[in-house]
Amino acid sequence: MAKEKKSRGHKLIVLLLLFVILLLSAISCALSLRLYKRSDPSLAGHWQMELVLTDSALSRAKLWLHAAALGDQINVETYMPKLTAHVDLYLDRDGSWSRGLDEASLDTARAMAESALGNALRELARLRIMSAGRPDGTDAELDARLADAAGMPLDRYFAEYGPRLLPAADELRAQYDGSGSYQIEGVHIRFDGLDDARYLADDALLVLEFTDRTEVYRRA
Amino acid sequence: MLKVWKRTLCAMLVIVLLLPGASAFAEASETHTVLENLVLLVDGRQQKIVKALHYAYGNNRYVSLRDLAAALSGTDKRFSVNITGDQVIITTGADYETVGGEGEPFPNVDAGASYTTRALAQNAIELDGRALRYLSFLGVNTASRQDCFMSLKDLAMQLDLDLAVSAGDMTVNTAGGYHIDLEELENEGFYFEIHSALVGDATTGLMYTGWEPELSVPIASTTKLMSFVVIMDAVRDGEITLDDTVTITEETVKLSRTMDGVIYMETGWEVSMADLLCGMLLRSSNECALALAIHTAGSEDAFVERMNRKAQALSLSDNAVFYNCHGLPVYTDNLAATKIQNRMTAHDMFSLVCYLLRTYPEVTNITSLKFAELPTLRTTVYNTNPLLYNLPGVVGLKTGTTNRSGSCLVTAMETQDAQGQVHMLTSIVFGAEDSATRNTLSEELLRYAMQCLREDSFYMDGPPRSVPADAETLIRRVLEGY
Repeated sequence: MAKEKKSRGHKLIVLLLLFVILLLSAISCALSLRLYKRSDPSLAGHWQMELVLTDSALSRAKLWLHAAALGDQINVETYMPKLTAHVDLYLDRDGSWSRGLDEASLDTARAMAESALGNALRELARLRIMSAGRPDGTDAELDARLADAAGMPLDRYFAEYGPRLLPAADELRAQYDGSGSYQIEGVHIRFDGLDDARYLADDALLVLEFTDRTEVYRRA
Repeated sequence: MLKVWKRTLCAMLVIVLLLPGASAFAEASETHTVLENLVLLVDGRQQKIVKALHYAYGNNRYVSLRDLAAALSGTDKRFSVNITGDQVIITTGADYETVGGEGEPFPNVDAGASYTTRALAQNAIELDGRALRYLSFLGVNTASRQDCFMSLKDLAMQLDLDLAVSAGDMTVNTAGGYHIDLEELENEGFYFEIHSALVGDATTGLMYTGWEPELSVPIASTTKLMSFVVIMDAVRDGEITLDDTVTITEETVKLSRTMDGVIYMETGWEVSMADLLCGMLLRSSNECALALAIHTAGSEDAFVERMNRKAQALSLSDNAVFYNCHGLPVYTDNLAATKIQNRMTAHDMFSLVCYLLRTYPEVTNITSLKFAELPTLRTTVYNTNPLLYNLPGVVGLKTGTTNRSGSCLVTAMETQDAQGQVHMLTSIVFGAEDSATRNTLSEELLRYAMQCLREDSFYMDGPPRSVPADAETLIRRVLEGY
């Protein structure tokens, strides 16, 4: 009788130990699942990155103007405003992502760059006209002469035949457009269809550190 | 006995072989040319005979200075001629004193008579105190008096003659001046002896006219203008200074000892930058260019990389390619080992010259020198550019010649417009058959440029008007529209 009681006691202890181990495993499992979660609701939303294109536009504008005589006497910087285009990133709660170039912003930047180049060209044309001893005229007269020389209005000339001041939309789309799924593993985001990145985020800012670049997004 | 016979036979053979050569040599000091008696109509009234020699080809006329001087006597285009020994002195506006034989025709021309002069050479001719560098014949006229025969074109340019030639007749309008109808010249094959040409105003960037300006051609020593730009960029950036002393390397000495070497150098010599720049630009010394390249960039390869980058920075065409700092042909580094040379287009060269004259105008302080003493190189060098003598206002820039490139010349000439503003007119001639053609064409183009500046108009033939491809073309069109 005593032996049976002892044996039953041992079984109870073993069962208890097993239960505790199971419980701990379950808790551990639950914790792991919580860390390696599929998505983080706080990252979900619309983010926007600003592509600053001023420097490249400036250098191309300078090159185009400097090829002309007296072109290096024109200060293109005074005409060129800050040029930006936007890239929109959407991270959904269900673990899907999409990203794309905001083409309207690129078009606006391009128009501003061409306008700046046009103003710098006008200054160069005036300088050359003065150097050649030709009579100066009004802005409208100069524009008419430039349009006559180009065979079309200046804005159309720059749009269709002028130097390429900004990257083409196709190029930027090829670089930034995409979609797929994503999941967060610790401090990394693994994108399906994109490189993995380390991320830092707060309510307003999302920083993605890829191996070859860093992208900074702001909450849109 | 057999040996003696053999020796005698050999000696006779040698004499027989040498004899024609000796007689040819004897004949080289005399030149027989085809004779012509041109009828010169002065202002539509007077008819005078001007003797002419056709040299080498038809219509390549060299006319008697004395006959022309006598024919123009008493007109606004009169000039005097004094010939003493080998020295010919021409003075415009002065009365000509006859010596005999002027206006007398060559006898028996139709019967194939000959006339002997000294060989065509760059004789000592002075015009209004300025030494000219033209080819001419010195000889005696029909009255056995010394005479000089100069190219009709050269004379017309120098004497500012409104002259026309047609089928053995010449007309001169003394009220007019030398005028170029470029369209007519082009139609008559003006450019057929060259690869490409261009003339324009480097101050405004306006191109007046050109021939195959976008054709990629080897440019020989005109390369050294780009070398100068790269060197001066390094000075501007503080990498080197114009007061530096350059140590001559073994590599440079090796080049100076080849047949392309121009100035003798020794390894370890300490040479001034100023002397090397003069040597490079005046004498076209390849070893000076190499020494400067090594001093500037550490090696020629590094220097050439800078040259190509500069070509890109100046938006020269893709045809502007440099392989070395001096312009000599080099062999490719492969099994086929073909010769390659620095290349660019006339348009590229014009862009380069515009940049050079704008950014480093001090280049003309060197290129306008007729000679320079180079104490650290223990030599004196003479400028290879003949237009310095023939055209007042010429301030440079560079000659160039290789077998493949032909005779090349880039010239800059300072002149003023009617408002007194200074303009640097620039002519570029690539690939002329010989230096005489190159020189004449360059001078003609510059005179045309002066005419364009004076008359504010020019002839530009080319493809139909297309959309301007760059800022320069666009602005040029604006200027043309005035």
